[in-house]
Amino acid sequence: MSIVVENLSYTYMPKTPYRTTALKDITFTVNEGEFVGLIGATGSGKSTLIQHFNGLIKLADGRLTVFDFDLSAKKINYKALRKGIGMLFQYPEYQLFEETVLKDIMFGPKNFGMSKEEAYESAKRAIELVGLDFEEIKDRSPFEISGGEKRRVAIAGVLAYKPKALILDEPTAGLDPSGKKEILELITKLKKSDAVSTIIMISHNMDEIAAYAERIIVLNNSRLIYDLPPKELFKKDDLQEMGLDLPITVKIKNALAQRGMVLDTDALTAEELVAAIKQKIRGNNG
Amino acid sequence: MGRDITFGQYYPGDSFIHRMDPRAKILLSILYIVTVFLCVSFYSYLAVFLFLAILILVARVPLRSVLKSVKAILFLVMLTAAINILFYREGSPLLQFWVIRITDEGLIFSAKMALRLLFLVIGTTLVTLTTTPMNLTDGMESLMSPLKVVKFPVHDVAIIMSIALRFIPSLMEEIDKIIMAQKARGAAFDSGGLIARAKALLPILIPLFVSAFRRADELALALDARCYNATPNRTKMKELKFGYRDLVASVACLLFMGVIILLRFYPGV
Amino acid sequence: MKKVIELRNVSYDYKSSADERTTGVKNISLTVNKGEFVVLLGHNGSGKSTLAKLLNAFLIPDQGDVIINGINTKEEKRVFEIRSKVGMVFQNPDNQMVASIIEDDIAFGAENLGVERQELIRRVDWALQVVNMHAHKKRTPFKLSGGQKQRIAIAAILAMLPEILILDESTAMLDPKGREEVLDVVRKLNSEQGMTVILITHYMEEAVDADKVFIMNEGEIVASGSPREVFDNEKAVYEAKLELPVACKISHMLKKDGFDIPSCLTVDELVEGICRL
Repeated sequence: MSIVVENLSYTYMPKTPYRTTALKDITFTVNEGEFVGLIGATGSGKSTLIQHFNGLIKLADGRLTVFDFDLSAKKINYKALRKGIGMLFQYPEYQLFEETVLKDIMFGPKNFGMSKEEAYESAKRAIELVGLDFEEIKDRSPFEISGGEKRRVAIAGVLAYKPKALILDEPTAGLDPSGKKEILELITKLKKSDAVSTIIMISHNMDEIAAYAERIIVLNNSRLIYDLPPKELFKKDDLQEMGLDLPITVKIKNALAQRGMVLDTDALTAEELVAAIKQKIRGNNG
Repeated sequence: MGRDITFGQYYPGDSFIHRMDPRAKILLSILYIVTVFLCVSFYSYLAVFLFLAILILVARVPLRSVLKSVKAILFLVMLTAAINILFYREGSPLLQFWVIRITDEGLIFSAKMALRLLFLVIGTTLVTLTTTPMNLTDGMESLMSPLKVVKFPVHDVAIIMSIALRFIPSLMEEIDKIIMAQKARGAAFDSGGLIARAKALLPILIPLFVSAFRRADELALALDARCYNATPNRTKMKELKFGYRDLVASVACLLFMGVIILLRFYPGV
Repeated sequence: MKKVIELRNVSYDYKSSADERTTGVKNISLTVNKGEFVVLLGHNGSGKSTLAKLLNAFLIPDQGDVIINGINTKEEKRVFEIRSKVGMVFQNPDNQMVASIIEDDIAFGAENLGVERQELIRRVDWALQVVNMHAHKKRTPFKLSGGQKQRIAIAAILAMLPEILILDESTAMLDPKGREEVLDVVRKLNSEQGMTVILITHYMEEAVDADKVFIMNEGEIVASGSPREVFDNEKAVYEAKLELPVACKISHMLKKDGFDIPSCLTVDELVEGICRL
């Protein structure tokens, strides 16, 4: 098990008139090797939750274990904790700062105590993992490469310190369709390789989440509402009330059902849906 | 976004003071500062205290927000008081050792200095608590408008101020985000010597500058898109107008100043 | 129909090395009529933002002419006239606001044009009502959602009473809810006020109810026409590194499998088509 959350609650600025509850009594577990989706409307508490995982927000109420670290302990080695959790915030390219791409990617490894040589090797491997040409890009300024490349470099900067888990907050935000596809393919590739084992991804795009996550956690108004595999989750009829979209395939299926064409399928991809439609029509006609 | 980004110091409301013309508030606060410096006796300090108490009541701002600004300068007040107590030479000594000589007059003098500082801060805080930064900017722009005659770009300066005010909260939020991202990559900001610490700031400062320039670029386009500088005859939706409130307030302030001046002739304590 | 925008063989090249990553545009000709809802699609770096900047005289073409309401953007003295008629909303809602109080921000553009005071007040109220943000008039924009901020940005442009509204990727940074809010406002402006709209985006779904769609790639227009015509041209869509809307994709898949279904743009059309099979 990699992350165990038990009865976690969090309030911003407690004991002041401005206090706002961000998380209330959250309990769930992320197992080693899982790809978990985290969804919820803006302000539902997703960011607050993931910031607990590497100690950017100090645990105030409840229990949290991240790998070998008990975050309710008095003394926590934050550096060691953070090394195990690769965290990519929204628009991660805005954190790039070094003169060259290589130096920027080596920033994390060096902070976590790797020697220069180790950091170099690690950066090289990370650049190759994200599908960039090491020799071509290593000496370029991170401010002069394209938007898609910047995002890859930012991802490489996290992969380079070999985290056990990767947490992605809207990794495709602001990208165009091909950029989105590239990043999602990269994430799938990472998951399949031994580069990272556990992935948690936040996204507003239900089609993405449905296609990639093995399990989806839904937050609404600071509470955990569902923790289900995608096919089970998108059968629920109250997701839209929580300000969440539905995958377009589910929308099509629901609209067909309203017209009297009930498909016996939990299809989420276009291909699955087409197959179910064909089967239904052929069944009706034959 | 853990931090609550309060906007300037403004405390929303629609009290008598909130609704005064910002220019009147700026001018009267200058008058108030002069008045505080005219105080000599403890009676006059008491008068200022009462005056402020009335103002706070009229402004209907919570005492807490007023005290918050006091807290910010408390250290300064105590430091000056301490220096005054320790090094004031006149008067009869109450306590004396080594180079230090605490005198009765020294105590009185430092108490008055401390009060003066506190009163100045509370008084001006009342202006910022009851006036939006935008309004303050407008007020200053209007007060400075005679400078247009000597080709001073009053309006541009006002716009720069207003944009600066507008972007401070955005940049604060940005700093928070960058710090989090670099911390996640193992950056530490609180260890090592001075040079190490200064160096540790680079991963924050560089992205911050890059972002500030990107914002400035986009903002410049947005200003152009909204026809900034299209005509020298720019109009204003919010016209500043002196009203009866400003007259009443001016009379009150002048009376108060009169009282303080009168008190100078009755040197009590 | 009245032509409000006309581009004749327009080319623009970023010569300065500072902008070498930005794609220019090549030999573009197009017209937009009054009241039309036009969507301009293209991947990042396809030249669509360059095209937008040519429309309100941020950029002046190297070759060809851009005519807005009969005014050539080359007429330097009439730049502000053009900009007040062609309102432009940008991508990042945070970087377009100049004032800290919403009503002041809305008034800014109109103030720059020298609109007299009573009229300013009327316009601010009207613009905020159109974008459904009137309740926030006296507040600060900081705590608003992205969709709300972007609606404020639209209102700020509306107060200048433009005839054409250009949204340059104004939905790209928003979540689905915010995007829907903004699109609702824009569609309403188009249908109720007859506002000419040019929506620049890479979300294909936003193009399905447009009057005209243009697809750009490498600085050129590679496909144009009604949404149906454009999306039927699957090859052009994929070559421009874009995706078909999912409903459209599914209808094409069914058709390839021998079902008699027309090319569908929306979920509703698709459902209708399937039910008829």
